[in-house]
Amino acid sequence: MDYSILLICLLGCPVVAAAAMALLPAKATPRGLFEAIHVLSLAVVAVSGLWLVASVFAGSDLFALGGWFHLDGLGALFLGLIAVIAPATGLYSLPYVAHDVADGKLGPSQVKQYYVFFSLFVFSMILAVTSNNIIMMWVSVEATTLSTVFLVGVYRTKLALEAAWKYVIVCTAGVAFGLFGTLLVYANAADVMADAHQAVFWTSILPMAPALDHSLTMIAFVFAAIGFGTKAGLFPMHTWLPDAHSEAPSPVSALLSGVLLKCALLIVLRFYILAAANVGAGFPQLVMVILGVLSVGYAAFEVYRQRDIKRKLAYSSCENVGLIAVCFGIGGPLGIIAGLVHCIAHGLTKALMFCVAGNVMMKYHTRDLEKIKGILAVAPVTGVLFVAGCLALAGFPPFAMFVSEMAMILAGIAADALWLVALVLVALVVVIMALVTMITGSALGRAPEGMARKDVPALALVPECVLLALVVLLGVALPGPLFGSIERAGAIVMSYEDEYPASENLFEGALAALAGDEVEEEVSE
Amino acid sequence: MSVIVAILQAVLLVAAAPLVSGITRKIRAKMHSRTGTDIFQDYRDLAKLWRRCEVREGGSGLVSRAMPPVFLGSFVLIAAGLPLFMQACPVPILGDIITILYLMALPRFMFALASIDSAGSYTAIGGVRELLVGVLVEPALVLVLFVMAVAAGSTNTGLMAAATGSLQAQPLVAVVVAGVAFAMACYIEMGKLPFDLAEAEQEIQEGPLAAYSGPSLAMLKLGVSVKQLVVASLLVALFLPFGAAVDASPAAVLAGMLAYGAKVLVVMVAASIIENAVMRVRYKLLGRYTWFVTGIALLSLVFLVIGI
Amino acid sequence: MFGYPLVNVLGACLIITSMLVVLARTGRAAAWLYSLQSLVLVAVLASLGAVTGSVELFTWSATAFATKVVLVPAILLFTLKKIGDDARTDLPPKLNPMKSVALVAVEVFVCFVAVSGIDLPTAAEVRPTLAVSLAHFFIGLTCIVIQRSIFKQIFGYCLMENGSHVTLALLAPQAPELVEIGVATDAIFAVIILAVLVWRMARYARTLDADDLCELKG
Repeated sequence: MDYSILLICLLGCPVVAAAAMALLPAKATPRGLFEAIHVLSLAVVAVSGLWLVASVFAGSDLFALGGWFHLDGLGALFLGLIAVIAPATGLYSLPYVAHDVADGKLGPSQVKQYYVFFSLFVFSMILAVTSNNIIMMWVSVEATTLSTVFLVGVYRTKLALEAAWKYVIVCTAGVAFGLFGTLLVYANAADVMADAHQAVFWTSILPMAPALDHSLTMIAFVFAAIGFGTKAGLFPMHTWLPDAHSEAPSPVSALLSGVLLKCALLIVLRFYILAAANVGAGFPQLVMVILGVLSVGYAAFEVYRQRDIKRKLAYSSCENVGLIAVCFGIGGPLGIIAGLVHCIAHGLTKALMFCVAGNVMMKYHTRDLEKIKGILAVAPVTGVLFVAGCLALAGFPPFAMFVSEMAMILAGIAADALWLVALVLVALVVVIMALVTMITGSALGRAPEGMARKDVPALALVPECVLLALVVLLGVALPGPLFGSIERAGAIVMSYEDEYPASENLFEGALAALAGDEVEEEVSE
Repeated sequence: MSVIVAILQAVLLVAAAPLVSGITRKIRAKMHSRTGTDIFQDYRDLAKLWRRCEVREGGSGLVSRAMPPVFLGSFVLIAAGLPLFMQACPVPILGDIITILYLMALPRFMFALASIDSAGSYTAIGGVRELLVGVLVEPALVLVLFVMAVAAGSTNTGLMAAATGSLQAQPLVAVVVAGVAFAMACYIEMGKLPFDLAEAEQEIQEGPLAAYSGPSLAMLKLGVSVKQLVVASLLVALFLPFGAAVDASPAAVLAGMLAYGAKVLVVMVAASIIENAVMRVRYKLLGRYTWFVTGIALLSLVFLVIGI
Repeated sequence: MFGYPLVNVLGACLIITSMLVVLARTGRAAAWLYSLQSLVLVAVLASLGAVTGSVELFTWSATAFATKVVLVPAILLFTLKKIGDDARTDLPPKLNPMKSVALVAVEVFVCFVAVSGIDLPTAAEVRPTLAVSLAHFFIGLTCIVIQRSIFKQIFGYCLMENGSHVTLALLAPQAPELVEIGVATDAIFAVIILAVLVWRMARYARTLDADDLCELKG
């Protein structure tokens, strides 16, 4: 089977679906038709995406269209994330949009706008993850911003439009910094490489990376970290995140928080690999640690402070992206693996939480946590999902985020960055406080008067159950093949260091080294 | 030869200043739809004032007595040194930009000092406003002159004129932008509407000039006209030196004189047309306009540094 | 005067014209001035193409003419017409425009100092223009920050994009055309989306004042 054809299919399907939906008249078409096209395209995305991911994990890297598209173990991990979460949130959109239409918040033209831009959004994310051409990487990140503007601003209220405006201005201005970083790398590579036309491909630059100019690469990495970090939600460029993620419809927030932030982090990671191959891991790790620690510290306190449920979750996204940056900043095999596991774990957990928040909003018609009380009494299944989701987000076992946070702490100890671990733990405690307060305040307690004891439609519960099952699976028994592929992705990130060839036993080796150090210390005392 | 040219320049400027101010008055009258006075009226006014006897305020001292001659004298000296007819300074030491800047600052300083010396309150207000204009405009002037000095390689205005005249001044865009900034700064320096803060007829009635009479007033009025003409000449000399004599032959100097006359006339007519189309700016808002001019001068400096 | 000095002179004209766009008082004037500024940009690209002998740059200057000089101002003027009441788009900026000239000059200087540190053979002779294009980006950013009317903030975005495109042309003249087309299309779509957003803001929120758009805080 020619996998490059499958890749083209994966990319083309959402575009075709978007074009088809755009051509249909908004008022005359029944909503069911839009939903059908939407579900169909997402099904194709899921199947082809997972098939491609499996083939990359089993076999080797994929190139398509003359090197313009490239899928390696690292990209496959993020593609898998898209292929799982996008259909889940897409499925969740169906009852949510139906509810908003019944409430009068969305008209027929807005429904069409929603589904068209949803497909375009999925397409742009797949493009960002599979692109090999560094300038096209930037174009695809811009495309994600542009395709989500009208998703964030789909409600015709002043607040939604304000959030959309802030989102588009801050993100395009920030991502333009990323363009400068990309251009510096390109110009540098074009000077050094024999064939200047190849200098635009990441896979061609990587082997030549040690030959690039050191100061230019450092400047380029800082620009790229700031630029694509804006899109990822790192402090201090995160200002658009709480507004955009809270004003958008819940399925869109889930996709934005769960997947888009990780795609932006992937691009930062690609520049990190180039920079580490050139100037060594110290400088890029320093940049990541600074950005990560600031994000974690600031966002943790904001999570505690917020009263709006979606803004709380949005700040929690900021904080987790900061944690991922800290993991990459700590470095070493444990740190990289912890970061990658956290990407997946947080993606699934946050998508779950935003969908559950959407359910809560469907019942209570408000986002204010002071007014939301007694979810377990009013809507039992949603309540259970809510409690489970909050615990998952707080990092309790048996959920996936516990695994990644533990790995991060181990990585911090292995790298002797104990102060960093202490700071991060303080922030995590604050977040746990905030989430537990959310459970006791909202899930438990007495339901408001006159609210019907009826849960949301089943279709609005199925995606969350699937996501929760995946979170538990990852937390309890990470499947072997998946873990192997995470290790391989980690090895790709660490490929600049000769002592870590792309071997399978990265994690085991690192843990053994950590245990070995401790045993040696005990022996020497 | 050059000394003769210098004296000729000084005398010519002093003689022509009332004519130019008369032409300005005529243009204002025509734009206000009235007939207006004869263009030679200012000569008659000055003659009449000279014959009158002088009345001084009780409390005024030496400064008030010394100010009018110093005012007129400084501008006459500048006029003598500028490269007006030739693309070289008749008296090099007077044509240096540092000398020019100080010779322009001196009368302003004396003006303000004398205004405080007098007993009237309106004169003091006028003097202080004159100082304010000076403080706000001088940075732009200094920046532009500095840019031109670096572009021409010397602080002598004659060499600057020669460089601009032969289009040798590098870098090009910096010089052009500096020229634009200088034109605006000169217009403010001339004290024409909307920047005639010192006289401010509607508010403070002639300002500091109100304390003088007789020959002193005549010297001051002449001095103000000469100042406007000198500032315009500075602009013409530095940025529009085309037509001025390149060598020192009498024919060339004569041609240069005629060219200079034409250029300065055009500049003054343009200035008076602009003057009569606007209202006085409130002195509080003066800072905005001067920031604009200083910004453009700063931009020309940056272009110079970059090398565009 | 041809060759690299011409490119540098055109670069200076870029700064002057972009400053005019920032200072423009009405939305219409800003649109026309932006068209003029893009014309200078097309001239820069064309002269760069002539000097480096890169055919891609010529094609790019042609597409830039079509998109930036004609299409973008047309879209913005059309949006202005649809919004209708011009007065709402013409709010005075936060920083007095007279003072912004000095700010622009400082930014250009800082960018020049930053560019002096970059040591690239391809960029050696066009270093002033590289400083100009970097400064352009910051001038656009300044425009976004100081403008009170969100319609004028679109011009800030367009100026930023212009700066990025000139930097792209200066640092990557051999990039494949598809890349340049991708970047240009992206800019067009961004302008269309911003214009639609402004129109919706005018119609549903009835305000174009950026100071009004501060309800979501923290």
